[in-house]
Amino acid sequence: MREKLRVIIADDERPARSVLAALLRSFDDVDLLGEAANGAEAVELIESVHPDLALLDLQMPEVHGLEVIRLIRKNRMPMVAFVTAYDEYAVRAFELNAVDYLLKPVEAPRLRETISRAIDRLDRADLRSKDAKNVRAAAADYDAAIAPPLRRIPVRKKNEIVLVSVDQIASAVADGEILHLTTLQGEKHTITYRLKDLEARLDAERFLRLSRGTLANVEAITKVTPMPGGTYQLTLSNGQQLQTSRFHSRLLRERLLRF
Amino acid sequence: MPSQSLAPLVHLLGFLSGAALYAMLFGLVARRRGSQEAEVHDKLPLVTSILGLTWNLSGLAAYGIRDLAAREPPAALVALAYAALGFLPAVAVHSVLRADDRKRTAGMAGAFIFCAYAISAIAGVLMFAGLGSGQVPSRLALQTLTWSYAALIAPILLLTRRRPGSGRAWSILALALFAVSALHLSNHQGGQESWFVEVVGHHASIPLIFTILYQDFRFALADLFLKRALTLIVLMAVAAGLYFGVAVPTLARHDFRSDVVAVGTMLVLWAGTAILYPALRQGAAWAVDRLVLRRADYRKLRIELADRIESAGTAEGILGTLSDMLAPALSSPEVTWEEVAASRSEVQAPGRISAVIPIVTAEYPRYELLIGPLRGGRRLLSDDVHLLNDVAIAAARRIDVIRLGSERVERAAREEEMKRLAAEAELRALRAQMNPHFLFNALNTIGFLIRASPVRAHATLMKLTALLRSVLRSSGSWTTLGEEMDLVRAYLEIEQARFEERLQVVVDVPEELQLLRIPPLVVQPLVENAIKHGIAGNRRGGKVSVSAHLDPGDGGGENLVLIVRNTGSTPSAVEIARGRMGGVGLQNIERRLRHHHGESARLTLSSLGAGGTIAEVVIPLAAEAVAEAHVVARGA
Repeated sequence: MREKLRVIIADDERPARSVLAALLRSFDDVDLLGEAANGAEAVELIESVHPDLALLDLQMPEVHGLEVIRLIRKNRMPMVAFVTAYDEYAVRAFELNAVDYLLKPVEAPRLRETISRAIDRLDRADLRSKDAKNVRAAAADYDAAIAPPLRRIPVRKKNEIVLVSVDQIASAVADGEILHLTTLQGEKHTITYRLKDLEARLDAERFLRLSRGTLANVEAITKVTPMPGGTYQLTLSNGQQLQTSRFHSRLLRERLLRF
Repeated sequence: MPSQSLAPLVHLLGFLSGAALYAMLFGLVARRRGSQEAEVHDKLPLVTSILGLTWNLSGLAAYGIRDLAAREPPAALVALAYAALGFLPAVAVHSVLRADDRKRTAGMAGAFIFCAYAISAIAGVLMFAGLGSGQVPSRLALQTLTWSYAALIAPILLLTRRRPGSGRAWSILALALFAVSALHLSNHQGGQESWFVEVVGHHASIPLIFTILYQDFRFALADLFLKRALTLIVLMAVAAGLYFGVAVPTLARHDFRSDVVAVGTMLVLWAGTAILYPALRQGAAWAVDRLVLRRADYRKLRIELADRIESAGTAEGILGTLSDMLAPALSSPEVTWEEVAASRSEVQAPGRISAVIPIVTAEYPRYELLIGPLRGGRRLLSDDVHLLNDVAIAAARRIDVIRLGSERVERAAREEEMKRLAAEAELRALRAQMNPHFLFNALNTIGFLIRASPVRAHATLMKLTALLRSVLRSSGSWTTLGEEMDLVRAYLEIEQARFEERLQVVVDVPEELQLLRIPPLVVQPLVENAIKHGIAGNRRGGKVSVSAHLDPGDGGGENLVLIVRNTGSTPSAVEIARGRMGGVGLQNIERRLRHHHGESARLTLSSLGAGGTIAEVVIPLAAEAVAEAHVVARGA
C-alpha cells in the first residue's frame, strides 16, 4: 500500500472547514495535516508541512485563495483545488485553465474525484509543474475579469506576510517576472505580479505609468527635472529617482505639468 | 371663282393669321421671359416673332394699300417687309444648328450660322439698295436668298443627320419652302398668279411659325389656336352642309318671306347650329388633346393613380409613384416632392417650379409635390388642377393610414420590449436580492450544522426558508418595516451561523415603527453589503448594527431614517462611488426608493472616520401614516 495523500484546508469559516474536514477524514487514503483560517495562515501552513494538495477557499479576508498561491515559493507549490460557494468569474477562469475547483456545499463523490486525481499526479513532476502554471494563469485571468480594486498588497517577508497598503506605495518597477515595490518610507518589497495586472487594479488617477516598466504614485512625486531628449527625471518623496520614457513623457506633460 | 378677286382675300387672310401666330409667339416668349426663365435660347423665338410680325404686318399694310386704296404702297415699307422675311431663314438655320453641342461639329455649325446671317444681311442691304433703282422688292436680293439657302440645305442636312427628332425635318422643310417662295417672289411680283401660288409664295412664313410653335409651344398652339380653329372649321362645314343640303332646297320650294315652313326651318337650323357649338368644341378639344398633344387620358390616369396609391406601403413610395406618373402626364421634365416640417415660415416656390401641391397629412411632416416647368408652353388647366388636388388628398389619406398602422405596430413592439425589460429586471432584481454566494454558503453552513447540531440546523433551515419566501413575495409591492426586520434578522442569524463569533449584531428598531410602510428589501441588501465588506473581508470580524428612527423632515412631514452600520472596512469616496455605480443592489434600492417615494427619498453611503461604513436610507412619511402607526403600536 502506498503513502497517503497529504492535504490541508484553508477557509475562514469554521463550519465550512468542518464540513470539508469531516469528508476528508472519511477517506482512508487522505491524511489531513492541518487547517488554516485565512490566507496568511494558509501560506505558513503550506510552507511548513509541504502538503501534496491544498483545498483553498477563494473568499478569505485579506489574503484570498488566489493570492495564497502567488505568495508561496515556487518549489513549495502543492497541487491546488479551489473551493467557492458561487463565483462565476472564478469558475470560468478555472475551467479555462483546467484548474480543479469544488463548489460549496461540497459533495463527497466530487471531493473523491479531486483526491483521486491528485493521487494520480503525485509522482509525476511534469504534470504538477504544469498544474502550477495553470493555477497562476487562472489567477491572472480572474483578476483581469473582475479587476477588484486593490487596497492592500500581501507581500512575503522571510517567514511572514506583510500587507502593504496601496496608499503607501511610491513606485513599482518591473524586473522580469517580479515587481519591486518601494514604499513612501523607502522600504523595498518584491512580489510576483505583472505590472499590467497591478496597474489594472490600482486607481488610475493616482498611479501613473512612467515607462513600460515603471509605475509611480502621483502624490509621491516632488520634483520633475527635464532631461535632454524631451524626457524627465522624477524625484519621489522617498528620494527615489525615476526616468520617464519618451512616449510617457508626453502623457506626463498633459497630466502633471499643466495648470 | 376668279383668281383676281380671290388673291387679295387670300393675302388678307394669310397675313392676318401670320400676324396672329407670330403675335402669339411673341406673347408666349415675352411671358416666359417675364417669369425669369430666360435662357439664351429664348432670344431666337423672340427674334423670330419680331421678324415674322414685321413681315406680316408690313405685308398686310402694303397689300391693304394696294388692293383697297388702289395705289402703290411706299417702297420703304415693302423693302422692310422683305428684309425681315429674309432674316427668318437665318434664324431658322440658327435654331436648327444651335442645339449641336458635339464638340467636333460645333465649329462648323457656328460657321453655318454665321453664313446664314451674312446671306440674310446681304439680301437686306440689297433690298434697301433697290429703293434707289425703284425695284422693290429687289430681284437680286430674293434670288440671292433662294440660291444661297438652297445651297445651305444639303450641308445642314449632312451636319444634323445624327440628330434625333422631327424638329430638324420640319425646320428644313420650312427652309426649303422659303427658298422656293423667294424664287417665286423674285420672278413674279404677285397679284396675277393663282391663289395657291400666291399663298405658297407670300405666306411661307406660316409653316415656319407653325413649326416653331408646334415644337416649342405645342400646348399653347393647340390649346389657344387649334382647338378654336378646329371648332370653327367643323362648325362652318356643318353650317355649309346644312345650308346647301337643307336651306337651299327649302328656300327653292318655299317663299322665305311668307312660308311658315321656311321660317321654321331656318330657325331650327340656327338653333341647331348654336346648340351644336359646345359639343363641337368639346369634340375638337378632345381631338386636339389626344391626337395633337397626346395628353394622358385623365380618367385612366386617375384610376391608375388611385390603384398605385392604395397599394403603396410607404409615404416615400406613394410620393415617388406620383412624381413618376405625373411627370409625363403633365409634360413636365421634373415632378419632385419634399418633406415639410411643422415650422416653416413661408412657402417659397423657386423660379423653376410651376406649381406646388401640398399634401396635407394629419400629422407632420407633411409633403409637397413640386411640379417643374411645363414643356410646350403648357399651362395647368382646371382639369389638371382637379386631378392634382384629388391625387393630393388621396395620397394624404393613404399616408395617414400608413402612419397610423406603423404607429400601432411600433407601439405593440414597444410594449413587448417593455414587458421583456420588466421581466428581465425582475429576474435581475431577484438575483441581486438573493445573492447566490450567500445562498450556497448558507446551505453549506446548514450542512455543517446537521452534523454538529441538528437542532440549530433545523432552525437555520427555517430561517433560510422564511428568507426565501420573503424575497420571492417581495417584488413590486409594499412591506412593513416589521416584516423587513424579520427578514433581516433571519438573514443575520444565518450569517452568524456561518461566521460565528466573527459577526456581532445589534438591532435597534422601536416597536412603534414596525407598521410603517416601506418598499421591500431595502434594509436586507444593505445588511448583506455590511457583512460582505465589514465582516467577510476582515480576519477578526466586526459588528453590524441596524437601527431605525423618525426625524423631522424638510417639508414639515416626518422622515423614517434607517441606518446600517458596520465596523471594519473604511472605503474611500472613490470606492463608495464605484460601489454605487457598479453594485446592482444599491442601484436597485435607489431606483425603487425613487419609484415609491419620489426624489425626496434617498440613500447615502459614507465612511466612518473611526473605521467602518454607514448606509442611511431616508424615507419621507405621509403624516397620517405616522399617526396610524403610533396608534396601532399603542393599541398593540
